Amino acid sequence: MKIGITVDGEPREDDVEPRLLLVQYLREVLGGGTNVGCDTSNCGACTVLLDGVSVKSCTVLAVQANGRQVSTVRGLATDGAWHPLQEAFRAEHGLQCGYCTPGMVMSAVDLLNRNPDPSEEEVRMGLAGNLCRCTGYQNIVSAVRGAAAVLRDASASASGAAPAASASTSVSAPASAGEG
Amino acid sequence: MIPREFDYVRPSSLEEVFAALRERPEDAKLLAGGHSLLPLMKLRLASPGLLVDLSGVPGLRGVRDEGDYLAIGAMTTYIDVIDDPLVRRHCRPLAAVAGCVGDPQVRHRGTIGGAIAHGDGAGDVPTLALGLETELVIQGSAGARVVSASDFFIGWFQTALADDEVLTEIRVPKLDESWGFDYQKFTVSEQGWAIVGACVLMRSEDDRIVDARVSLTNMAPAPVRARETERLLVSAPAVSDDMLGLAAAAAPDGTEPGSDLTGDADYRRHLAQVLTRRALDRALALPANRPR
Amino acid sequence: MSETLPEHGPWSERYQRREDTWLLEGRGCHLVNLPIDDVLDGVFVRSTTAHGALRSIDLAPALEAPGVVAAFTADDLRLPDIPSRTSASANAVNPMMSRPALARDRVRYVGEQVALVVADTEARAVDAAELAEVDIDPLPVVSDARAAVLDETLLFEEAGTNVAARRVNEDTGPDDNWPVSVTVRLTHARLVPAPLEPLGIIAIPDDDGLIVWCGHQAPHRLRDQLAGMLGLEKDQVRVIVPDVGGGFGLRMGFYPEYLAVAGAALRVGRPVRWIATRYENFLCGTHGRDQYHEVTLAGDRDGRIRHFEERILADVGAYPHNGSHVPEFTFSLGAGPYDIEHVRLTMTTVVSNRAPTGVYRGAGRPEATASMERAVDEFARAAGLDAMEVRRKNFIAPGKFPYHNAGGLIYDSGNYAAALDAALACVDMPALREEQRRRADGPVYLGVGAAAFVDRAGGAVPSLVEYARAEFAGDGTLRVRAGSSSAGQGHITVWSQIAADVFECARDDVDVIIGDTTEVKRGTGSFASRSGQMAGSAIKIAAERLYQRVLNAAADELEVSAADLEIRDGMIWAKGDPAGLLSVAEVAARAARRGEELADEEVFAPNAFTLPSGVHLAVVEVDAETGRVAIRQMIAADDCGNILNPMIVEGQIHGSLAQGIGAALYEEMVYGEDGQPVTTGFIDYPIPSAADLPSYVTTRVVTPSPTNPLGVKGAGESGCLGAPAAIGNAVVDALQPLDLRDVQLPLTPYRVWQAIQRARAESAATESTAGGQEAQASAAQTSAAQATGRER
Repeated sequence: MKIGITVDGEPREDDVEPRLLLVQYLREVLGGGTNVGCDTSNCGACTVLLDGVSVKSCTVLAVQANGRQVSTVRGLATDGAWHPLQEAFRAEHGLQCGYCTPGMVMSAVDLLNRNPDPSEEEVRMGLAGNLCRCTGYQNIVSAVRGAAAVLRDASASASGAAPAASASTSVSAPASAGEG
Repeated sequence: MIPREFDYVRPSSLEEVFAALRERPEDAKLLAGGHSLLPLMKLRLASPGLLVDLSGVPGLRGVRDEGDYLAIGAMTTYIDVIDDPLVRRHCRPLAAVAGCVGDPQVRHRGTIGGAIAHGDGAGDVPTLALGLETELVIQGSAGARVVSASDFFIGWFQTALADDEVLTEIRVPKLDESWGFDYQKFTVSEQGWAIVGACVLMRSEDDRIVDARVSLTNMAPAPVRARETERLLVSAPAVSDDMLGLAAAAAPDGTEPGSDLTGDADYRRHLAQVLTRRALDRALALPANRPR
Repeated sequence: MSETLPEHGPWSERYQRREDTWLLEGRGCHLVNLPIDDVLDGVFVRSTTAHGALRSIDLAPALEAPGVVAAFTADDLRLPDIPSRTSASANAVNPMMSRPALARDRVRYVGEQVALVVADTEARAVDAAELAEVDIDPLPVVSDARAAVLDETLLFEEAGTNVAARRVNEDTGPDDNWPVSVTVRLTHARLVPAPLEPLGIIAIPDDDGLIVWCGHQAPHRLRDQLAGMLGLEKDQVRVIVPDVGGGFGLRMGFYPEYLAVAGAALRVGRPVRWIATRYENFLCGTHGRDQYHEVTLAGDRDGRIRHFEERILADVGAYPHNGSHVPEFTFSLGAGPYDIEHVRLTMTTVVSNRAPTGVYRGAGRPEATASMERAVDEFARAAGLDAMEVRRKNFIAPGKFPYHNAGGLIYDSGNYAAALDAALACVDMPALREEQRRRADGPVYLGVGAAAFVDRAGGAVPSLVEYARAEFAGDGTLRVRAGSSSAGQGHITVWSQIAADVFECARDDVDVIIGDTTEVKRGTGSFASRSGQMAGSAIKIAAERLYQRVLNAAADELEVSAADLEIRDGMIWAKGDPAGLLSVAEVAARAARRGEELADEEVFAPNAFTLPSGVHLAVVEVDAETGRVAIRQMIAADDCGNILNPMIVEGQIHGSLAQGIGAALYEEMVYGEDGQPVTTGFIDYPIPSAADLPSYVTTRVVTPSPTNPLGVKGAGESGCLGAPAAIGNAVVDALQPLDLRDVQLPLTPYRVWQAIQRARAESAATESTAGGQEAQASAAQTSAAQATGRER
């Protein structure tokens, strides 16, 4: 089946089997960028943004993403400058083996899009769909909250005002869950 | 991890959906959010030869105010239900229960209709649908019909849907301030399925309970109402600690809980009692449409 | 001295990791991301029967499937069997329990590989493998260790028994007539390491040899094993370790799948790749733990423990593998941090129709710790004393090091009382006890539990050395090669830091090569928390020697005394003179022209373990109505000796705490009586998410190790030792009002609730009979005995 998907800003056209999972498609066209850690939709290492919202790409068929935009961690930096989440994960040691990291970071992007000022509890609940076996999560939580603060400050100074209570920063396409 | 081969179509109308289903009876499955079906296919526990993707059919998403009920398109995702202003205003329990399903990524893809059509007795939304006495709009090539939730859930992954029918709309009642609600979902881990869940919707007038819906998750092959509990609640002249205790104790009556690693039937019956009591206490204290 | 780590903001850049540069951009080069020309994908056909005679395998339907290039059975590949390992001793091989690369006439566990199908895509290989027809006549299943030890059904007829090994230490004295004596029985559940990246290997024929990509924790060992089994010279096989998604011991094994894939690649003459699915990983990856213990502590009423007896029965699964070492590690830990006069240890390991076990983070020491710490709490209760004070009273005193324990281990240094103080300083114990008393009627109870432990890290066996080489390339680049293998621990960061500190240069300018058996000429690998002390020390020694060599070469050039020179930022300086004299690059270039290389090697052979230690404390709430255990506080006071990179060390402690809490509350690898694995994915075996775990309070005690020049000890496994034991003790402490003393981990709600029901039933029974306390004590013993089996 012929499909057209925009991956990290690059439009692509490919011919795929219906059974090809989106995660496999992304790994083939990017040579990596997202990972497979389980086969029961638990681990979340495959998390990407589909039209701006986080999804487990192992539980989406590539054909279901036809005509849509996918964002992976490969596309997170802007002109080589890292996203505050990437900076924060490094500064807080939010990764060890790095295998869960592509999905963890993209889940965090979505979390902060919805909730720019999450409490520790809200971060933990918001990352319930992403498993990590190395870090014990504490540093991941610190990283997400640290990045949240940076993003709020950036948003405030961009708008030239004190941070609004519901300021939100989108990374890619507007967060619509739309389909059909 | 890799499903067996299959064909895939994405019809742009219900008529085309029915045609596809008719052409491959027993071999075609509807694809909604895919978060019940695709995991089974990846483990090769299910291998339909044709997937019929509903996402291209217009008119199946969104929430409409229809006066005394909300009409929710079957393809509306959990997250859209959670965020919908009409749902939050008139039937917040639906947002609350949708919010405890899976994790954020699952909620971005899974659909309310998919959850109900799957008919999993261990699922949270079917339990609430039963308690709300939702009406389910089913369409087939022979036309449309409306089935109440109590007639819809028949058995283990068995619903009133025929193989060539599509659930298109879920009608949930609007709840006023006299309703209280709580859902107690007991899991081992956050991602886990409910070992047992107790969902309580109650309407009080003065100190009496005039309407009680107590439905249970994972206490039977299909979602089940605790009818004896409900009877005790509405027949009591007043709310009291003893009365609530007796009512909660009756929750397992008429259920058929299974046994697995997370608990045997005795433990589940006990949990049903404990969770029902906790849900009753909170439902009395919390109006259904209040944020929690 | 001890310090509680402050709430820190971002870590200093000195500690931040170099690996993150590519990992955070999604450019991790894990095995499955490697672009390999002409690669074929291999998929294994696996037994669905736990024990049976393998009658026939028909691969013809698979061979006819689209895209299939080859399909192999044992007869096709004709590979030698993998020798069993029944003990950590080099010669402990039982030829009657060896393991075929592909099953030959018998299958011995569900998931055992019986055939390999190779196709041009993974999907086609999966489709084809399904078509294979395997005929197995079932045999009775030996479902667990207690069944195995009866020898009613044998896994290996020729061996005549299911017992793989036995060990006893010397009987050290009388065990009777002590005023206080307690016995506890514990089941240490089988666990699954479950790093996020499943197992895999790529074998690429290269001339007459092989290039092998594999996420292995000991690449030189894998190289030697593959070469030996394939009849190749060692230098014909090159093992390269890419980025690896976690090890935790899973990646220590020599899997038959590795041998089969390598053999298939040589046969087919093309690269063959195998990547396990998660389901497959649950079935065929080595499991951890799976021991039964009976532990007796006896001593005086004043709390002094005089006698410790531990009987260990360990299930190593269907083929004795490196899992056989694990109960020996338990054995070697003896009485842990306690100075006990009379210690008797017995160990029996058996095979059963379960997947083979291997080392898994902690490897035998979590089991030892959990048993000892449960017994210490029981001993304290029986003596009517505070358990913390009983611990303090029996700790090995700081003046007694080096300390020889009854398991044959020599402890280097430690201050266990300081760790206990450090942990206790993180809580307000009087307030907790007061709250506990207030809530003693339930339904939500409060409890506090401690676990004191020692761990063993490194390697005292003469063969467990580590290699490093420090060198200057012709262009002046400082390069370090080391025999360790990183699976997320940040070796590149820490090794470059050590070398950069010696040469006072920028850390990120140091080139580090690890995980390549051609580029690093020898190595032992990364396991048992050894790399900091072993590879780190080897690097430091080699670098310091190289420093002197460079100074000497520069001194000759400059015709001055080396004592007047120093090296900094890639330049030679006269001490006290702001003008640099000569670049190191120039020194290296001149040496090269003379045909000399500026390099030094070190094989670090301390022949001594380090003994990290600590005290972990858990504050828990137990909801008796549901059985739910919630951790209110998890405190870890750890002594890892000197610390090279506090950020990385703390990360290791967090990670091991998370795995320890997983073992305490969530995880168990379950097999049915029929040998079928029941928990085969993250739905039934829930490794915890962030939503399932608390935050941790970590604090530190430092007793440097005298066994290595860095003074470091291992830091990777402590949470696996301390957390399960502390949480188990905390739950028992919480449920004292219910007189509940026996609960087996994992403390799932169902299991805790069942234990509460049992305790209530026994209380009711004993209350209604005369004889009060005595009857209650014997009832507690009976419930302990009954409760050693699994709750299903």
